[in-house]
Amino acid sequence: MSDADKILDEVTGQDYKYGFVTDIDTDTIPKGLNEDIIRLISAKKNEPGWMTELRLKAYHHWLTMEMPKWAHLDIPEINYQDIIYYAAPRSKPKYQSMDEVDPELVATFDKLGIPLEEQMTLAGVAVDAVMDSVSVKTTYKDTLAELGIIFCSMSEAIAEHPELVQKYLGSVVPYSDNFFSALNMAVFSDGSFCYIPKGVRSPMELSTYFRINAAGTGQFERTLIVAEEGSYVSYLEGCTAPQRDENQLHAAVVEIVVLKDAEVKYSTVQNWYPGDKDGQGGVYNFVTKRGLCRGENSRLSWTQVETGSAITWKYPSTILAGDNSVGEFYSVALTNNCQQADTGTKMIHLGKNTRSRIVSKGISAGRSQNSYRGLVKVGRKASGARNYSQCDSLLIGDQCGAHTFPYIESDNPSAIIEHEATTSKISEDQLLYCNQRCISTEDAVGLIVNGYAKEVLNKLPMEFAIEAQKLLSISLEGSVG
Amino acid sequence: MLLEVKNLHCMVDGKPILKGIDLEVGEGEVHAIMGPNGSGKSTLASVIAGNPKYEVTEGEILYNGKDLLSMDIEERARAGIFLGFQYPVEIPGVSMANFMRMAVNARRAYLGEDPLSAAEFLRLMREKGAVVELDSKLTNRAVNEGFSGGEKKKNEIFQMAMLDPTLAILDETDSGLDIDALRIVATGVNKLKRPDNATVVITHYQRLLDYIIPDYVHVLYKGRIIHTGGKELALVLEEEGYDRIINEYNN
Amino acid sequence: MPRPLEEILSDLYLSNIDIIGEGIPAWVNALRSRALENFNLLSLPSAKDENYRHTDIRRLLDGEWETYFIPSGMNREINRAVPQSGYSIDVVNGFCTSNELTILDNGIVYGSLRTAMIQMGDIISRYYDKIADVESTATSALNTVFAQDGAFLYLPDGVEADKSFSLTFAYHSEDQAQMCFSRALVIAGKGAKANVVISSVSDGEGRFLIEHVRETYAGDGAEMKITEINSCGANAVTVAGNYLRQESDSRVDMVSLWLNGAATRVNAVTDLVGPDCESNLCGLYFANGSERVDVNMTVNHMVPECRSSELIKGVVSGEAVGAFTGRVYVAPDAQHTEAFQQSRNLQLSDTAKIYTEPQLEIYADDVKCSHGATVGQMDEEAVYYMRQRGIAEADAKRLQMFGFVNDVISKCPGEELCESLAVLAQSRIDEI
Repeated sequence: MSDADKILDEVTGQDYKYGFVTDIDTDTIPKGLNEDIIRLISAKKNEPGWMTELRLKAYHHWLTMEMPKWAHLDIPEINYQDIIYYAAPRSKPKYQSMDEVDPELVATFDKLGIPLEEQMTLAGVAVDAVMDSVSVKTTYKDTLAELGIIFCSMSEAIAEHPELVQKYLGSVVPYSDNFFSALNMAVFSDGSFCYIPKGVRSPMELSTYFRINAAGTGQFERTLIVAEEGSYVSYLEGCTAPQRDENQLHAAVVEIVVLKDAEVKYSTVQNWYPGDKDGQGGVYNFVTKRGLCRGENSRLSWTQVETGSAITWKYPSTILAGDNSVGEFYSVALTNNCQQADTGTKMIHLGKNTRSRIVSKGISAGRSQNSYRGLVKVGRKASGARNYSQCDSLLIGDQCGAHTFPYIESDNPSAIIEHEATTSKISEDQLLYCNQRCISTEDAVGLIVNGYAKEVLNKLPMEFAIEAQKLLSISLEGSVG
Repeated sequence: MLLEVKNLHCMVDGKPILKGIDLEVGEGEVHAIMGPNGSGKSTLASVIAGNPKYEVTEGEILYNGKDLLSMDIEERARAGIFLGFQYPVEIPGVSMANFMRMAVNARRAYLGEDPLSAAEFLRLMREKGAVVELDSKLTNRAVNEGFSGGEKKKNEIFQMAMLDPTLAILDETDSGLDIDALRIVATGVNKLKRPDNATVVITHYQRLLDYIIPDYVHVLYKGRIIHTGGKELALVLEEEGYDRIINEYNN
Repeated sequence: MPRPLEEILSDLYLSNIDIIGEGIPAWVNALRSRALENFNLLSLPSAKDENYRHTDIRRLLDGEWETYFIPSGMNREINRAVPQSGYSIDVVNGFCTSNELTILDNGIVYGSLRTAMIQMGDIISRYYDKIADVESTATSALNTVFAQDGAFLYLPDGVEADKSFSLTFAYHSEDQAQMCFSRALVIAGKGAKANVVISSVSDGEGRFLIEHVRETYAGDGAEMKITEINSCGANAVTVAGNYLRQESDSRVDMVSLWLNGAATRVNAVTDLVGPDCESNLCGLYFANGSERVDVNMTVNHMVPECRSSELIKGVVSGEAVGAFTGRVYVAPDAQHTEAFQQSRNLQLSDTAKIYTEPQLEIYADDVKCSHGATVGQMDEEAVYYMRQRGIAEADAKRLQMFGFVNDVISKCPGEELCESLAVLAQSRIDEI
């Protein structure tokens, strides 16, 4: 076995570091899905009648749909009746201070390297921590409230801001959109709601951590962000899941509405449990994320670092409806061992002079399959639309696959669309050069991978970028690069 | 003795390249290795550095009396062997600062020293950058990416200064340099010279040896050192070429 | 309930089985039976299939098409796309105009595919239906079921042809809507060298559905230049499967031009099965008015050390639709593959639609692969520059457009051929 092989073997043999279970009593309902379960979820959450009706409508539509099969993924049969659709921590917490929070929970976040207190004081990040679907704690709410910013759990929003929720929920991702969005609308347990009023720039980055905890529970959170005219917000979403042997289903929906002159930055670091190195266990991450740049000069930027999940099916998309609106997508997707990812974006240009930019960096290692799938569509009326896409793939080892499937559809003669893709591997020469400069092969791989992903990592807020760098190195080699 | 190469044979892709090299390098010495194209000069440098492409079939190399061939390439580097590459590779996205900090701290860990703090490291970068008149902007760029030929070579000497090696092997560091760059590189090398380290310069041309004065000049031909002399040998070679020495050897 | 299309087509074969298979060796008819089974298993793709989103094959085939299983239109003058040169084979409505095979002194054989099946079964059976994908492509399986004749060219090992070959597929119908199956088999033995020009043309008042399959085999070290000119009239719909297999050290330079036709769907598949092959594929398509062109190219790198490059250009105007899907597949262990693909498109009207999907599917790590795609329009700066030098705007645009397409045309072998193709392209540009 050559040195490089040894390192790769070690690197790809790395076990998941965040594998631990929090011992909190959870309140679960029976397995399976039917009308009664949906009514039960709605009742447990004390939802108004219109919400229950919406869920049921979505459920009935879901029954008529089939799982999409076009992705370059090998998805085992999922028994939707074998999933627990609701789990909430039993001691429903509503804390005023950190002291009241279950110490187990605080410890969990500590192990994840996201001490809540530190995050609260550091950099002014407000954390809406979601554990098993119910929002546990929302911080900095008062500071935000003074500015008129609403940042709360989706359940609270349904109770306290029904007019906003009714106006925007499902307006970007209707339940009929796809199989998973229908399922999500039917059973979503909680999520985040964020509303930035006209002219307000959020003074801090808003952040939510999602975790899946109880065994056999699917996580179906729902996020809705509305940025009114001239407002700005940077929203961070991070996910880690503890180790479980059976596969867990995660089918989230994120909707973003961006009005005139407003700007939203949405950053994700996704590190759900990827399964062990033989492909046992791991999260199925089937997520629908879509933003609507509704107003003129609006701007939406997606940045994602995807290192986790056994299977990822995710295409954060932007509909550029307002004239001069701008959509951006920056992605690093790393797959190792037996992971599969089919991820990318859709940029739908509808307004005049709309611009979009896509930078995707795929990294495949082990026996994984990593696909970029992206659509750039320019509608009839989108004169002067412009897109630039760059999709790079990096292969580590000869057992993995890297694939690129861009779809370009142009209905307007003034559109300019450019797509470029390259595939490369870490060259022996680069490793040798690093070795000669005292750097071990393992460190060199981390260094080179981070260098390769830099253009995307630079788009993340500082604290997130550092965590993402760590994740890339951990996912690949077990030591910080 | 710092470096002892004994009866070294090696192959590349099944083809023998080195056929019995003997070479001793002591502390404080400067050796020049010259020879026609394809004689095995760069191969010798690569074998000492530990490039896995080259298969040693016979002989041994001792470094400070220890068996060098059993060591990994980065172990050798940390023990103080520096190879200035003829063609330094580009590493996109990896900044010089990150790269060097990792390298310097790995070397320091080997020597039992504490890692440098960010501030100390930056100070060291500035100080050593001055040795080769390296534009400080270059250290903010990715490793060798978009560097001109001359900048790449200066960057090699800069890294040598940062890592403070015991044995530096410079593989055709003069190729592709104009006279000013050559002077800067050579001055850099001379500034780094101490009684307790050694330099092996591999070159095609005498002109580098106008600036870096060797104690010994070796002529490598068809995988063997066929002639060794003092610094004056380089001048003789410049005038006569290799033919006479090769003819003598063949007879 | 209407009968399924597959059943109608199967019945069409079964009720004409005697006439279709008459005088043809049993091994060919056995292939038909097997292909029919496959066809029924596969069923015809519709727009619901991911790979056929831009062409609904079911709808194209589901019409009142007449099918003749005997030669027709034989005595008419063929309205050629480019002047005839070298050795030629003419195929009209799927049947070769001559039943004779021509055998040259150096062993080259060319002529009717049907006659070759009868007289050269031992050679043909090694290639016929072996290169085309009849296992997973329903339209190609259908062609095997029905094809009775076509063009055949065989170059023995080590032979270099002294002249080029011109294979012309002409389609003529006075007033009927005809479905016509045609076939070509081109075999270049080890080290053989050839220059082949393949064209298809149509005329007459009737409409045509052309169902074509071409199999090309390049043996070890063979060198082939292939120019393909599709210049059927507005009366023709084409569904084609063009298959190329390359053995080690072979080199194929192919230029494919899709100049006219009401609707065209092409599956062009290249399998590189021996190491050190080189495949250079260039293409150009025009779609104007209400035309549709849907080009689906696949290059399969099955073994290490092969090189492929693709450059496909499209000019789409009027209310036309142009679609290009280019898939590059690199098999596990196909190390040191170099595969490059470029898709360049000019969109000239706001009612035209362009879809381009370059795809990379890579299972080996030590490879150099890239693809690029652009959709754009004419360079306004350049037009402005030319106008400033006194060139009329329309001329400036034509010049620029010609420059865009000539990049592909100039890759065809021979000055004469390039010139005639340039004239054809220019006339297409002038229509826009």
